[in-house]
Amino acid sequence: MAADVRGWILGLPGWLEHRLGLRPLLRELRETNVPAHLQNPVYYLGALALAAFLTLVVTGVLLALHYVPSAEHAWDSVQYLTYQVPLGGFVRNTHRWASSLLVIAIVLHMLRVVIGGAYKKPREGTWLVGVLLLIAMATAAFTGSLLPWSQRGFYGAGVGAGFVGSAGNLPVIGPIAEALRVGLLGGPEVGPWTLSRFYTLHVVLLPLLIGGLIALHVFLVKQHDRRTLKPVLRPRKPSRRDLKPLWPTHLVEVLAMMLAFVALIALLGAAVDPTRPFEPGLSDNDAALLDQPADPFRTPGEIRPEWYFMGLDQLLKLVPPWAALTVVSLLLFGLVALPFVDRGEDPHPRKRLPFVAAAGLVLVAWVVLTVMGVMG
Amino acid sequence: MTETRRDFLRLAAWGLLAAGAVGAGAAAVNLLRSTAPPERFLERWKGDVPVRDADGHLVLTSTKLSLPEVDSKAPLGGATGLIFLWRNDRGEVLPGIVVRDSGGERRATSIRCTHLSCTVGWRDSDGKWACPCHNGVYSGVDGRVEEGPPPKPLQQFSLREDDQGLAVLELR
Repeated sequence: MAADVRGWILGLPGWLEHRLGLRPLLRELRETNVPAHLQNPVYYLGALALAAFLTLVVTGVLLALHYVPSAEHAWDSVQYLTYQVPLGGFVRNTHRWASSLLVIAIVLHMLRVVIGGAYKKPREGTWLVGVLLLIAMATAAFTGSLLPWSQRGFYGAGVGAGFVGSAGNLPVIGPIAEALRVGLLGGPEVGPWTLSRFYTLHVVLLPLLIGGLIALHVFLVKQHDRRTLKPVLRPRKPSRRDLKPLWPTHLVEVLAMMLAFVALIALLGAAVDPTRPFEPGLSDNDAALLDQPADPFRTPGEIRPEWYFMGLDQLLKLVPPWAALTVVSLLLFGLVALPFVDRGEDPHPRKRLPFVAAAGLVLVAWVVLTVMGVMG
Repeated sequence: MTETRRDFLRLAAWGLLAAGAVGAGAAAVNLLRSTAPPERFLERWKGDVPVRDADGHLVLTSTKLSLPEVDSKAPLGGATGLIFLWRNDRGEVLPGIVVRDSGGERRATSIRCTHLSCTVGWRDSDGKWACPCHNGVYSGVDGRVEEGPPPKPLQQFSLREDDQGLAVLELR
């Protein structure tokens, strides 16, 4: 009897191989070695972003099972799932923490890519897909905040759409910006029709788009063999673990880091209110007002957006909207053009000081504006 | 001869595909472009008594707007007055408020900030409208921009009574 079971178990790999045919792929992965300089954790940041995104998808599906996408019932359904559904509050908080940590992972990942010059030939395509991913993720974060139909989300959507449409008076961009604003809102201003649009974007279109872009991004990374990335960071002291096989050692390490990241997100979701750490200047009372049902006749005195949009909001306090829109447009254009402007052969940051400095400047400006806004 | 037939059929097939794509694209664009909210959504915003401005445009009200009661209790960030809705020429339905100022005069003003569409609140301390989103400040007397990023003043309205005793709001 035991011998039969043992025989069956031993036969399983062969059974699977017959049907999946993965052995050649696994052999290739086993024989590929990862050099020491690529074993630095900064090369895992993209995987961590993916881990955060997958957490968002799983928690998002669980939330969508209870959420009602109608202006009449949205707020009530969110209250119900937060306070009445078992572990509902945990799922919701984890969803919000995952979005915050996703932003951090993406920013650090982009920083590593820019400093290391990893967008250079032949990896321009990978970079451009990455920029599209950035835009898609930002839009997903923006549309998600309206869904609870709270004061915070309602006015955030209004300000965001107003910002998009603020070029309304400019000659060529004006009509396009206005059409984009009205198309985003589904009408002349934020209302129940906007909820339908944002819900469809946030739950259906953007996850599909992001999933496809991630697949393309990972495919391109594999196509261009990371081992040809020149070392930028000093390798660790040489050891017998200098060359690790891609499978199983390296990939399992990456997987372990991803799981640890998800565990961190879940821990934060269980223990820490997702908004309070990013709103130190806000009293508990004012914070509670932001989560009240949307009231178009009354904007809370201490209204503020999610922390990752705070930098932009702060900019809007300082310059006219069309100037802020111009700045953002130029930044996006700069990101897209980067691999085609930075044409030098050597990816080392010391040989590319203007570009690295420009990236550093943008990052510092964003951090300063964000801190200004967060401190209130 | 067969080459010519094949060529023709190939051309016809591509042409049909292109025509189908154009047709589907036009239909899709038409769908996406229809964004005017159905009037039934605006039902919820409609009040008991229709009020018209001088051009006959319907001013949607949230409560009865009859002059003797025009200073009933809709508190807005410190101001107490009657909230009304008006439709601007971009088609947006925006909130306004009718208040009695310190001299006892009725003033009607838009309370939608002209910067990025938040609702302004009344600051009792200095008698001004202040927007909490990006710190815009407007005069409490005539809605002029005094501080901050708003590009335009708050739309003011004048009130008059029509022959049925109903308040008529006119753009000032």
